[in-house]
Amino acid sequence: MNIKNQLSSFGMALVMAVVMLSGCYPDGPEYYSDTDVVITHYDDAFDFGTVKTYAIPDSIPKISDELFSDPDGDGKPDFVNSLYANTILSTMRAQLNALGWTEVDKTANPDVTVFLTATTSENLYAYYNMYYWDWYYPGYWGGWGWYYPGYYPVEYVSVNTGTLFMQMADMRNSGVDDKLNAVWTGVINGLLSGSATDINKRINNTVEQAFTQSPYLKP
Amino acid sequence: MKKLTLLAIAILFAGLSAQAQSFYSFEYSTALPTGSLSKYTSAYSWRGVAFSQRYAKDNNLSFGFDFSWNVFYEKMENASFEYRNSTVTGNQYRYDNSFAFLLGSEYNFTPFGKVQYFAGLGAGTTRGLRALDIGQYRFSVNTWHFAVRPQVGLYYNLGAVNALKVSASYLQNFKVTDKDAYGCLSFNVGFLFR
Repeated sequence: MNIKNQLSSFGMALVMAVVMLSGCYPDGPEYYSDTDVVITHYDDAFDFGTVKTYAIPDSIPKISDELFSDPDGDGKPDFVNSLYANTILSTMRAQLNALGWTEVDKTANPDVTVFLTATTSENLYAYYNMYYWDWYYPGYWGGWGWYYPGYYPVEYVSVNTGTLFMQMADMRNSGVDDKLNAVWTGVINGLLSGSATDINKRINNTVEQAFTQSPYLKP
Repeated sequence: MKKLTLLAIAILFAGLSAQAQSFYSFEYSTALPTGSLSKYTSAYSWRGVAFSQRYAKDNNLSFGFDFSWNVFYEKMENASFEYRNSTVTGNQYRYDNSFAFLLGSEYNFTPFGKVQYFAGLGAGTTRGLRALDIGQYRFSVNTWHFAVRPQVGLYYNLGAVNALKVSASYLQNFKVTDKDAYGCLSFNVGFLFR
């Protein structure tokens, strides 16, 4: 066999290899739920065992920019549709109550407050302006911002499409330099597609997962 | 760059040996992951190909070039990994593609038999492409390794030019900065063309 034939047979073998392997190359995600990711992060210097009470706002702002803007002038951000917000809030409450914590009004000095925000843009706003919460704590947090003691809430991934961002703020020790200490954060990210029933089921599963993978929250 | 160098050497080698008797083989390759790869994915690979080109020095000894490609894949449902104070949970899709480019030699113990037994040794480089998909994100590490591959097998003569080839080989890829040593034990079946 001469060199030309050898090279052509080698080329042919390579083409066959590529065709064979590309034909049966493994598949990735098949269902929307296959794209769901739950990320949690916490401040290991914080003693979650000391938490007895929590407050949780009953609406979920949609964050579209770090700076709060109010084009309709009602002093409130846009909120997540109650079709989904109700599922998120009821699942969150069930999980927080299961820790043995008691929900109290924001005026009753809760140990922690759990802030829920959502975004459908490509970015996660971890340092968004506190004016987003002015409707909940009117006139309270002018010029404040978020602080993450010793960590960044999403250190190694970017966040995309539908994201629920959960921030647990330490209400007893916040305020230094106008910062609110987020001692626990959870990020739930997935493709925002499928039926409402399907999405609610995924919300329920992923919020539960966020607590399952955070055993240090339990006293 | 290493790949290009190796290909150049192989082609030069082929050119110098154009007058010698030559043969090549094409095999379907399956593989068992070993070393750090088995920790990454324990799933047996049924996706792979191997190509080998040989120039006979004499009846027993031949030299040439080897190429192989093995695809490892495993889906891990609802799996978690931890990093410092973080936990990340989701379906993980783990891929590893290993492309080996080796200079090889083999010794045929029974060159005139209907069934010919051989043992070989190859050395060269492996391009390892490893990726972990979770959600909409991909973490990947792509590396070049120094590699060696011992091999044993047999040719079952089907006629004057063709033979059935059955072989087993062990590809060992040495540790580099971004990836620990890993390898795969391959079982291959295919045809030899003279």
